Amino acid sequence: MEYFIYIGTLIAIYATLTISLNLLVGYTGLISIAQAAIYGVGAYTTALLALNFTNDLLISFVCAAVVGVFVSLIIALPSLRLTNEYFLIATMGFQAIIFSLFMNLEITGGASGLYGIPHPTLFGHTIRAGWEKLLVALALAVICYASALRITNAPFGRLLRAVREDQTAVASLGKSVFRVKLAIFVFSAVFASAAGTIYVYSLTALDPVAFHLDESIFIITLVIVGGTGSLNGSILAAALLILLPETFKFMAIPEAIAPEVRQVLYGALLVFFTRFRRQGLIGEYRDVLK
Amino acid sequence: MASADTILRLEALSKSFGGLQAVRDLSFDVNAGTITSLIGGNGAGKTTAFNLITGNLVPDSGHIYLRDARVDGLPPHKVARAGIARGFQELRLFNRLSARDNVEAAIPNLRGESIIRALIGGRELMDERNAADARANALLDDLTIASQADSLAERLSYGQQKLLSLGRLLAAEGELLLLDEPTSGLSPGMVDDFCTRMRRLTGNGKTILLIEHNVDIVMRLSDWVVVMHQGTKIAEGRPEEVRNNVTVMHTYLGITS
Repeated sequence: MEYFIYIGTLIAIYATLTISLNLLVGYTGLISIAQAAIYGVGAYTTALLALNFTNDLLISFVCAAVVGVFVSLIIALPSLRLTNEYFLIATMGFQAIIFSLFMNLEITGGASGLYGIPHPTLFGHTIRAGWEKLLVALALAVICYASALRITNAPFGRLLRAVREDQTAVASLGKSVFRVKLAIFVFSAVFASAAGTIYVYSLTALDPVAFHLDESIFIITLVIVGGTGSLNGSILAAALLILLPETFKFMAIPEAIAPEVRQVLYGALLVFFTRFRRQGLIGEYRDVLK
Repeated sequence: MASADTILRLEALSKSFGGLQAVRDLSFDVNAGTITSLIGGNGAGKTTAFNLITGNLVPDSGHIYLRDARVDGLPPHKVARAGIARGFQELRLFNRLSARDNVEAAIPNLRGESIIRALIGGRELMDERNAADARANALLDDLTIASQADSLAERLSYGQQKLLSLGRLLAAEGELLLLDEPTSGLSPGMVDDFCTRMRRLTGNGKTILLIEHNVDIVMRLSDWVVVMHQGTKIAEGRPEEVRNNVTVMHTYLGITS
């Protein structure tokens, strides 16, 4: 039972991450490869806060979001004025820098990460049981989905799509492209960091490898498999791609090579979807890059 | 020209790209409520002049005034907010948005375009949305493409796309409209329709600055014509004056005798 609760929590975390990235990639045409870095900033902020100051869940969310947004602004200010391909490369650079800091700083525990993180508390109650953590993770995913749905259905969402279609035209209509991009980038960072909080508290430990470039590529894979510009697709893809490798456990694949098989599988899916089904499983749009 | 009702003034604008001087010492005025045409052969610098006016390019020297305010050096979205609406030769529609969304995306000052307001929601935004829908539907109706309101812009025929780009331009509510070859690729019937619409627009207080290749349309439609050649202005005047100008006949209209 614990096992299924853990898988459920993982799916909720990845659904949150995928939706937050889909707003950038699918709606706005901003292909960011730094989502895992911002996710990691949220996770490290939460872990350091819990180890040194407080393990209050709400304070953790707020602090993770504040630091996550701060870092996202450092990424956004030089990157957002670049065109699509260069934006992608710039965010990859930031991903590499931030991961390297996680791995090498003393405060982040270097390559061994941080452990012995206390369980979180909410209104004085300690959240210890797996199912309680699952509920928190689900609550975050639902809030993320609902707010993403709300902003994408509003005129703001239309403006996001317009930016994806033609930035020059958007500017010619008197609307600041940079402001729109900045707003969605910050919004996305809030949820990516909050996902980091959930991750740390569900494991009560933190491994820097979880925030490697591979992780950013995995989240992009989820966006593409689910469908760029489809929030439901993001949830579906998170569920499917987390569950899929778990089925290895019931197949004759040796535990030792399971992680490699998983990487090959994800890579193959990425190639398959970009080549044969660019709208993803249930997505609306075929092409993000024009 | 009279300066009292001058809406746009270009003063000694120059722009070069590397060794190529695309626009050199270009000055002219556009009077409010008129149609002014910018003509000249390929490479004369017409589109560069447009890009300078709209802030897509920054001039090397010279100034641009909209009414009394300097707009050179402003980024494109601020120039647009100051009241200059631009149509593009290559249309630049939002292809995977519906025709109605293309128009609504141009409506200025929508509160629902703020992420915070979008999150809060509320009755006010619903009212705003209904008003925007009504405005877009009215524009699409007037442009005879109301039946396509829910189609993606990329699914429309070329003629319909041209009309839609005009609709988007009008929704932006600029007082000065910059149109880059609005009639190219249109059937003769649609060209007539376009000319009628432009006349009606100036009647409703809009001012139009036009890049146009079709000399007949220029002569028929314009109140004032500015002729460019190799980046400089070689003549300007009323259409009949320009038509009779010897330099223009030689260099642009290709009449030698």
